[in-house]
Amino acid sequence: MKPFHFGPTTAPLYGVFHPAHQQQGRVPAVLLCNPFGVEAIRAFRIYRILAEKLAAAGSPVLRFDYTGAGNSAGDDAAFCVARAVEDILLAHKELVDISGAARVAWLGLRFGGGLALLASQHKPRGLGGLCLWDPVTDGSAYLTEMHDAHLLELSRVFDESEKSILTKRQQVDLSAEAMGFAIGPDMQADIPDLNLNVITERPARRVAVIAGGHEDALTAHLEQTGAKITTHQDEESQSWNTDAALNAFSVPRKTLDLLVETLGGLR
Amino acid sequence: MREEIIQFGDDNRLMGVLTLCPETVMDKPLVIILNAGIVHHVGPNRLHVKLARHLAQTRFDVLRFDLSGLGESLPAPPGKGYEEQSIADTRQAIDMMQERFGERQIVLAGICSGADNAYRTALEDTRVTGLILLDPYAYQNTTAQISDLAKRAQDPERWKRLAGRLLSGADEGEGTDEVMEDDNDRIPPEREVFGQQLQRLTDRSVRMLLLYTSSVRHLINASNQFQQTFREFDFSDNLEVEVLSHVDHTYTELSSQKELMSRLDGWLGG
Repeated sequence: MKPFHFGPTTAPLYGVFHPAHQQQGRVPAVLLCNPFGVEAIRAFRIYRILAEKLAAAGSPVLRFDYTGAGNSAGDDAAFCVARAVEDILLAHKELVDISGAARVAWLGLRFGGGLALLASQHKPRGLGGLCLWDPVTDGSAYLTEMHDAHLLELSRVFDESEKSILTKRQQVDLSAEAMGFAIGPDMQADIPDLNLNVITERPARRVAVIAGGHEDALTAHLEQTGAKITTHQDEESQSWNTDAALNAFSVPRKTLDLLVETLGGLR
Repeated sequence: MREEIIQFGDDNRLMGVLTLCPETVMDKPLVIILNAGIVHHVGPNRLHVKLARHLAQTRFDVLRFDLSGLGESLPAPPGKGYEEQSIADTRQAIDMMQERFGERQIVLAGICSGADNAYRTALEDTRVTGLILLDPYAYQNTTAQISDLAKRAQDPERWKRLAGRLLSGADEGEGTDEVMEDDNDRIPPEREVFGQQLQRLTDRSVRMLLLYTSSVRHLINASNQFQQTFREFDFSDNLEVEVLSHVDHTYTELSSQKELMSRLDGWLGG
């Protein structure tokens, strides 16, 4: 495991490269695309363990933080859809350069799934498959969901009604934050760009969807682009996404096994 | 401001990120931020990154790192318990920082279990001259209990919410007044022991800032309650306590993050 900086020296991205334990000829390299905000913090452990498992199964792996997220340069407000898409393309090239892999599969979790779909439209050389795990495919609806979750969380931790929370924060621009993270002007402006209508090209030859239960429109849309879609149901696949899971060492083993098998087949 | 990934400790097992102020300021302490629970070194709500970068802009060199087996750090060989290993890891972080920057003063900072580990390390390592403890151990205080119950009883919406949860068959433990996210599985030392340990630290001239949030409001909800709870001790001016009752445990709101930074600026003299 090798943590390092890559990308522009003035605004470096943070990445961790996991070399394959034993390179297998037909197994792709894997790029892990993070979710956004609090979901990225919650996903850290499962991504790290997944990267280790994939490396043990023969895939070189790169996980990384977008601009304005995690350890990468930029404050929260620097994060936006357009920049995150550029970061995925940059990370893809970095992974190809350091691993020498001819084929790369991307895993996109939640918001990272939507971003990976957008980035795939740029047709980066070597992208063989996409695995979308409970993907967000409507940016505006997601932002509303995050704002609602923010209010609900404040109501829970302060044990006050949402009405009371809102009354006390009349001077606060609640559209500019969600669940601990700033939502900058760029993100507010370009988050509607994350939607299925802009996916007009086949994202990759093979697309696997780990279902969160609302992917019918997504799979129908992607089939129209000519991609070969497989869907996988996994009842444990959302269990990582809670504060309780963040503070527990357990990770959903079945989901990890499913992801290793699915990603290994995306070549 | 520049950041550097660093691996250190036995077999380079520990990993952290140094956030460096643009120019070396020898009279400023080195700041080390410890894991909050088992969240990696980015911190809950990316708070450790935000704090480190803010402090670097105000001329501090800052390390945030992962204890053995957490985040990007590798597990330690078996032999030490969690507390012992956490102290050993933190002391290795201090070794690395002083080798790199010279024998400057050390300030340890942490939320929740991070506060506990910072405080335990300070008891064993005299190089630590400052502690920033966010939601450290808190002890039952009758005044706090009464005022918390009184405040809750005045909120009619609270009873509606509670009734709604019960009627809908929602998990009874979730969100009810008694179950707060304050101390998870933390086992605090006896009140007297904690007081004696704080006394040892203040007698050693260790400066301490203790900030309590709403997550422990049933234990402490006004700063003078701390003095009441430890009335037999004299911590002098080395120990400051503040209660931020409008702030949650992980500083979720941006306004609370800004307030924390401003409070630290004042205390550190940034």
